[in-house]
Formats: sequence, structure tokens, C-alpha cells
Amino acid sequence: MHYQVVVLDSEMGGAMEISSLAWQRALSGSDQGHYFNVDIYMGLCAGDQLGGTFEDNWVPGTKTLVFSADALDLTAGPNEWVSVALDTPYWFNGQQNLLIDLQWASANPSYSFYTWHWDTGVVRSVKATSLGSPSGILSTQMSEMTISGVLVLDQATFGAVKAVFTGAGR
Amino acid sequence: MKRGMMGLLLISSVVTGAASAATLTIGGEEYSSGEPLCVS
Repeated sequence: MHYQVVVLDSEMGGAMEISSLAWQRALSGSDQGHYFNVDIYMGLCAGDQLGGTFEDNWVPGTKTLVFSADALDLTAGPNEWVSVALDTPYWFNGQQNLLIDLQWASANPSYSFYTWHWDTGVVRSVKATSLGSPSGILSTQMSEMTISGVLVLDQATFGAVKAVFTGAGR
Repeated sequence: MKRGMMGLLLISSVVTGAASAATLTIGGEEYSSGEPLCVS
């Protein structure tokens, strides 16, 4: 499975050091899911919508591996959130859109771990059931998720501080 | 208070309050139709 979503910079609200992602389980399906050879990448995306070719959606040089595991086991009751802590926190600069890329080689077919999705109105996700496929199916739906980390001041705020400091000495 | 001390205090107070833990929710609960964490 290969799944990409784009999160807009307006939704992020500024620079952030991202430390974990979480998804909310829906009401139906299994209370667990088991995934193998899982990789999660983060990086930047220049557009507000995605194209069908996975690699073309990255701003060149920004694709970063933030999580990798031989096995990932998720467990949650209906409407509960399940979180994945990143191996390496990702520094999001707040200047462009955030691209999140999930990949896994296989999953235990005995379980279907359903999560809530929402319709964004524009193409915000790409999905391919074959991990090796260079392109996927476009969709206006994407996973509801939470992004956790530390929000950081932007340069404009530091500029304002500098202006106040300069004025204070006059 | 000297100008330099005032500046340091000001910057210190702003920076201390600027880096804060946050959890952003992207999207909402609309569809659960056949979409696992993506698809198993």
C-alpha cells in the first residue's frame, strides 16, 4: 500500500516540529490492524492538490524518512484515536504544504482497521494498493488525523520583537 | 534598566511562550466507507 496526503500550510498554522501522527478509528471494522514493513515519509509539497505520480508531489530534496518498522500494530475502540510516534521528529517550516507518505508492504488480511475520512473537495490524497506502483488513484477524500508536536515562532514574530527592542532604547 | 537587559528580558519572555506543545486536527468524521488506515 502506498498512500499520500497533503496538509495545507493554512491548516498547520506555522512552523512545527512534528513528533507524532494519529488517526481516529471509525465505528465499523476491526479493533486492530497489523501492518508489515511500514515506512512513513514527510516533506513539502508545492501544490494544494496532488498529482497521480507519487514522486512528483515532493518538493525536490524534502522527502524525509520519519518512521520505519518491520511491524506496526494498531489497536483502538470505536472512535478512539491511535497514535504513531515518529522515530525522528520532522521539522515543518510552515512555508509550504506538508506531504505525508505512508507505505507498507503487507497487512494481516484478517483485520480491517477503518479510520474516519473527510471530503476535502479537491484532490488531497493518492492511493495505490501495489507498493511498487509509481502512480495511484486520486481522491478528494483523505484521512482525518491529528499532528502533534511543538509549534515554533515564525520569523515575522522575531522581527516584531526586534522592532520593539530597538524602539525601547530610544 | 539598561537597554540590553530590557531587550534580553523581552526576547526571553516571548521565546519561552512561543514554543508550545500542540495537537492539530486535520479533517473530521465524515466517511468510514471501506477505508482502513488506508486499505488492508
